Amino acid sequence: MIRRRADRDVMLRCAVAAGALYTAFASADDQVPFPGWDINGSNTLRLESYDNNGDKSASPYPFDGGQYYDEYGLNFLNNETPYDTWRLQLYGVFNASDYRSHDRGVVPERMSLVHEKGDGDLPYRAELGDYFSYYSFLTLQRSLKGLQIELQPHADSAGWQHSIVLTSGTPIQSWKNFTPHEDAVNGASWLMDNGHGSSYALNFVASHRSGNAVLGTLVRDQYTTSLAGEQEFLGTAQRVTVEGEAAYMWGDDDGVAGVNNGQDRNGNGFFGEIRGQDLHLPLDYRARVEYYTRDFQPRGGVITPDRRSVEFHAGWRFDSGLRLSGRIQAFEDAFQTKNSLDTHTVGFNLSGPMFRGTLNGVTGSMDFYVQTLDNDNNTIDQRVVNSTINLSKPLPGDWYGRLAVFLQDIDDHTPTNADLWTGQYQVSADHTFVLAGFDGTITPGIMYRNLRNGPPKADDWSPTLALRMNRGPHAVGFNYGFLTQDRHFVGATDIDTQTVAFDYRYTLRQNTFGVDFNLFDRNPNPGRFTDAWRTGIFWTYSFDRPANLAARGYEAIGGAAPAGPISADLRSLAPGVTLADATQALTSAGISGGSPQANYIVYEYPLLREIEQRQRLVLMHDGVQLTGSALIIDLDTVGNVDSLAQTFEHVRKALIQHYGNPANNFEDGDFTPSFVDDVNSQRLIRVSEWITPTGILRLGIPRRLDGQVRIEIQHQRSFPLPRETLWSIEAVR
Amino acid sequence: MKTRTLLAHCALALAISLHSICGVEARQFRQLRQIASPTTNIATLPANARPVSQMHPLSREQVAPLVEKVISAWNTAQLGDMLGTEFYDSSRLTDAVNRLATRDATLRLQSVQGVQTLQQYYDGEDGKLVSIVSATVRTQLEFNDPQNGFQRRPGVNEYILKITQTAPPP
Repeated sequence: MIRRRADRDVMLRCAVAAGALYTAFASADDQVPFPGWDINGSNTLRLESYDNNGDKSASPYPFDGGQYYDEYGLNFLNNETPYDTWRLQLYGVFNASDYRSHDRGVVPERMSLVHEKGDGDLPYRAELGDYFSYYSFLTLQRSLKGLQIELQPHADSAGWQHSIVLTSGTPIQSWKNFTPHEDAVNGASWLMDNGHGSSYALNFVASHRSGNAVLGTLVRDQYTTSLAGEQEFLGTAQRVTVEGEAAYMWGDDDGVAGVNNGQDRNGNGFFGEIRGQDLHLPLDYRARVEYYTRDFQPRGGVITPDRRSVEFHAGWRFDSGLRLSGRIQAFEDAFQTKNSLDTHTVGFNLSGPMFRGTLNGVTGSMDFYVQTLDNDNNTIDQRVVNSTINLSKPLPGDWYGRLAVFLQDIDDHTPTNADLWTGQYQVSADHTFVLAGFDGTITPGIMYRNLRNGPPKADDWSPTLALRMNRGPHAVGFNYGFLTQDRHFVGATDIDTQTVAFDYRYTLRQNTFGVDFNLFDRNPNPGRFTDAWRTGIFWTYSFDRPANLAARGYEAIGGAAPAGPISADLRSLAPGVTLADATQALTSAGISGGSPQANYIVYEYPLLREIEQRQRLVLMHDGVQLTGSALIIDLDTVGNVDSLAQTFEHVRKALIQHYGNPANNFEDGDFTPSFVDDVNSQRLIRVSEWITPTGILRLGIPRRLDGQVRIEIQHQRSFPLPRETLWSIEAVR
Repeated sequence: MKTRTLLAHCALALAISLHSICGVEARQFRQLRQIASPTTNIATLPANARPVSQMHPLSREQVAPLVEKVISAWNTAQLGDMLGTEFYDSSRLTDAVNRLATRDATLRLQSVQGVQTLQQYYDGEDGKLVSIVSATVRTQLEFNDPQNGFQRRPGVNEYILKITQTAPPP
């Protein structure tokens, strides 16, 4: 009962938070917080229900009933100058779901404030909150919560650039139970780089962990220092880079044989690598050596202690694009114990376009390796032969086929003789189609798996079907999978498992509404069945408020209703003008023959005489009055960046001559050869706006759901914010 | 014990392109991430890369489907393709998954928790936008054990993803 009440409180907070965000960002007036900051983000309210029937212990959903949460993500950016920036990222959740987070209630998940200042005497970068700290693999490479400062003095007279990083933080994952004194990492790193292939770093990391009587751990204080370097050599035939790092650690670690065993230890680690490429042949290569003693257990490092290894890799790229690579590896784990484990591997890999000339269009990879593992006690003694093949090829009739094969033979030489042979074969294909206005892809597939020689002898079959369809703001997805596991050994249980997933989402401006459903059905024989469901609905509100708009505000652009005669001019074809008056005005100007399309009338007419490209004048109406008007300008050559850039500037210049300087300009990104992708992914944004008595006249390059790129001038009462670029007239293609 | 080993490998498996945080191929210690200043307004980035004028952090909604893609590749041949070319011990990781994981073992994405965009730059001549993103992800490992029936093993891991955008975000 107490928990339900707490959950209700959380959901009330969710609703309040969502409402507050919507109120704060749905309209960009100058009353919103942080004027002058570029703010974007999203908020998702999700309500889910879980249910189980039968054997609940075999369900993927261990928690029944309603599960709710509201998650938010906020990004703030302030560029005082190009060399003085502030960046704030806030992510978190109001949680009443056992699946979303371990913690309930208000759960901050990521909080990060970054300040970079490069125009002072001493350029610096300061990171507060969550940050990723990276010195080297042997010393520190992990996310921390705390403070990190990087100082970059200007290059010295010899051209060496220096970077000094000071770090203090805790690797604790949760802000909810923030106890940095129990687990702290402090460090410093000095890096020198001459910009010509020489780089050296000196690192030092100190860490502290409190003891815990319940967990049976002791206080562990440890210190790690390392010296790393990299030097590039460029010859006439080879470009070779030599890299190495030597590290020493002293203090306490987790212990190998009990906690006391880890007190007051010391260890060292070494890594060296030579990598290079031939300047005349398509050959690259890499040789690598690692050596880490048993007590080299740096708190922030990512290496495996008590291990030494040698490996060599080489690759050759053929003219066709096919790449052949090979590897020889030898690892020795636990080498400082009496039971070390040796692993030797030889393998090769072929990837890229294959079978050119005989079966064109096939791409994929083939991988093969042989690996032996054995330890001193002979409890591990295996030889593994592993082959995988993954191929894909376009097929006739808008099909795209895929083939995947996995073959593995484990030959176990220990007394348990745990041999196992596995063969897995999978075929699937994508087919694109158009149905009832939906663009869709359907993917049927089937997998067969055969296990032999070992105790888990089995035949598994799995047919699958996936469907994805989109039409305008609608998106539908469906997945079905059936897996039958037929096992052939004494006491075995055969299992049939079905999974179904369905999702639908509808996007309306910056809102996305969706429902999704999952079914899990498991039938063991012998055994008790399990049925499990998950049903969810969600609402995501995304917002993006550029700083310049926040500072200026939209309220100033309102005004009185239009007066005077209507002319064939977008400013006159204003929202509120009767449709009859508008069409009469166009007829008087010699513009006729408009084709009606739902709530639009489209005229092929070059309203801007200065522009040569195809132009279409559009009247938007509700049957009685205009809701707006527009001029659509198509590009001469689709995919020509110069055409787009020049046409846009010509149009803007023409409008400036007609209407004067725009009240607002918003630009982001540059015109590049990938401008179609850039427009569609909102990396290229152009918006200029003029205030009219009844609304806004906007010139821009809006994003469209069909991916088409064109210039539009629209006169409407209001528009979404410039970063919300989905404002094109979708119905007029 | 085997399952525990697998989970540990899961954590490693999905930390893609960790080296890219410093924008250097292969190197195992940090590289200079130059602070923009009037005299040095070029961040140190991989070859053919150029800095973004303004970082646009990816949203959780953009990152989640990509994490789902990575999760679904676990215990398949696609896992190797998901790892950065200089991922630490990548071949040893994929070898271990191949050898230790039962073939029907799958990872289920339960939730994407905190998301943080660490670095962003344009890469290549066609100007693809590359984002280095850290995401905390809650997953559940599921498989049918021949002796003990259905097994599930939840876990929370941090993933470092290198996300290249060439088309509208999903």
